Amino acid sequence: MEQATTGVVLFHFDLLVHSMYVIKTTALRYSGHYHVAIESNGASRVSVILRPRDSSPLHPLDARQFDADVLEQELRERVALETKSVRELLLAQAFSAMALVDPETETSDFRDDPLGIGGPNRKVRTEGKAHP
Amino acid sequence: MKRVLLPLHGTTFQSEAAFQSQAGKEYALLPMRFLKLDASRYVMTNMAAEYVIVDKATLHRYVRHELSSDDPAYELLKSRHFLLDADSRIALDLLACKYRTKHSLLSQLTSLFMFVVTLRCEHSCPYCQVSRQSQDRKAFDMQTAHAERAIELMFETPSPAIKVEFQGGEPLLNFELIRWIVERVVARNRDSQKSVSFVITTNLALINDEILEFCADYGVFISTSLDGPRELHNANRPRPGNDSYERTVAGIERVRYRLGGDSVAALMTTTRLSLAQPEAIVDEYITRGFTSIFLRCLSPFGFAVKTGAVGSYSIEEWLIFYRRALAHIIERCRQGVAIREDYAALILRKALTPFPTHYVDLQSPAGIGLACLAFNYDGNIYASDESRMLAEMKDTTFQLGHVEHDSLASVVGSDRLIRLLGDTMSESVPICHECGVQPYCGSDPVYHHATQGDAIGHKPRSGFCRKNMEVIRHLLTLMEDDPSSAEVLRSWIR
Repeated sequence: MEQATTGVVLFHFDLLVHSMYVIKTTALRYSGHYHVAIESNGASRVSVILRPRDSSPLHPLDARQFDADVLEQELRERVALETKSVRELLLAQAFSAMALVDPETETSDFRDDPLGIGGPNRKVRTEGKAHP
Repeated sequence: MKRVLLPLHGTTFQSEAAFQSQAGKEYALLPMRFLKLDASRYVMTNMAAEYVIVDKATLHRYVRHELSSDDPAYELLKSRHFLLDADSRIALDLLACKYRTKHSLLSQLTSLFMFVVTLRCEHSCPYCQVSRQSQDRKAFDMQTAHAERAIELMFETPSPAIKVEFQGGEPLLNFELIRWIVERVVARNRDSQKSVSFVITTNLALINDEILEFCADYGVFISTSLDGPRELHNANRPRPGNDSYERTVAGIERVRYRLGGDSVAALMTTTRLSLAQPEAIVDEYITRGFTSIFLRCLSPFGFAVKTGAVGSYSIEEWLIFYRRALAHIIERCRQGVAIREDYAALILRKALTPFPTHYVDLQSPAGIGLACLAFNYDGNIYASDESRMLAEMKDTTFQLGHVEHDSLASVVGSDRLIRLLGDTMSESVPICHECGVQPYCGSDPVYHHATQGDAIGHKPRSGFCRKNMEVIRHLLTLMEDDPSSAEVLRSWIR
């Protein structure tokens, strides 16, 4: 981390250690108070430049916090990747039992028999209509 | 690492080995989000909106699969669906069921319909968010023909319940139309047999015996505004005679006497003047016999923007006010007074029960159009109350149609609403999608459009985000660290 007298702060990252996605999503969280720029310095190096939106310089604690937030963001990415399939499975499982289009299927009485399929002497049924 | 098999519904018989404990051998992570609660702790939330609070070391060990089964956090995380091991036979089915319950409102269309019967008002509040008109401008009254079409459109809802809310301006300035609408709805409902309720949102300055008799006959509920003690209320809500407080308080008593104790509720709005007196505001509500108070900050609409009222304090100042007021409410509860803060109660219901809430501003996708519709005085249909407030500022982004040429299906199925709703799913919005308090928060596209010109909004600069994140952090901290406060907060959940 480098801190210039103008309040501009630079962070350097090795892309072999941290992913670009993690660096970008961390920087996004700082974009409320700072203008954020990310520059490539060769194949595996990037710099994150934070310029304060107002005149107050970046607090030293916040500067250390950025590095900590990158590590925290890595945890999020790891959880997201590892749970992607189970999340999709859960969503499918949850909504497969939910009648979004036809709420009647969640409220109707199980004894109802609108098509008469439970009745005696049923012979032929075409397009939902029972013929004796 | 050994792969953990996911237990899925449908396995009827298990082998004998399956009943021997497998805990702790390996575990799989389940979907979760986390957020820093304070300097040393994190709040983790799962898909069903259940939460645990852990220290940093536990969070890291959990994510890296280094959590030992004899760690006290292991069973806690397992029981709250944050991890899955070979003993977790029904965890996924249960989690899916809880998730479905949390999102059960998705299958329902709105039951709340707002009728803006007039934009006229006899108050001249500088923070007015609806851009009221003076009393003599009847061009701002809803026409009966528009009301009739709105009723027909409303009855197209498949919802078995309908709530009709009369809004203004001051709706009692057009009481004749309220009477007409109520009678028409009741007659129309003889065929539909829906559960219908009515609410008039009024400052109560114009309440009289005739109106009270009518409300008694039709079970009409009253919602009013009470900003606090006399000086504060009258400063916030000027009217001829400077007697808003006296009229409101007298009106509350008359309504309770004629309609019953629970027939009137009140809302407060925080102004710059309110910030220094949260305790006095809470005590005013208690003195007036209310059992709940909703601590609301100003919204960026109407005269609140023109007069600068909405910019007169920061979110941080409001949060200090909120924490002080909440502390006082909790203290009064400990003393045996029945009083609840409604915003906290809504969030706690999300955090501590399997059920959703109907509150429009804390939904994902947003509640606009799905949780409410507003029929404006001119027949235009808006996605929410705030949407029609924005329209008075010449911004019709959230206008969904007009009662003369639209049906409920064309309104809720409109490309405009569907596009807006798609933008408001916080599960996929940058920053929100991985925020630890996402299940308790929501989207407010009208607020973000009004403040940032974008319905999604840039969250690092969003007042909505800062407010909700800090309120939720504060509530969870109280739940975790202060058993006495936690007991009070739990008692508010309905």
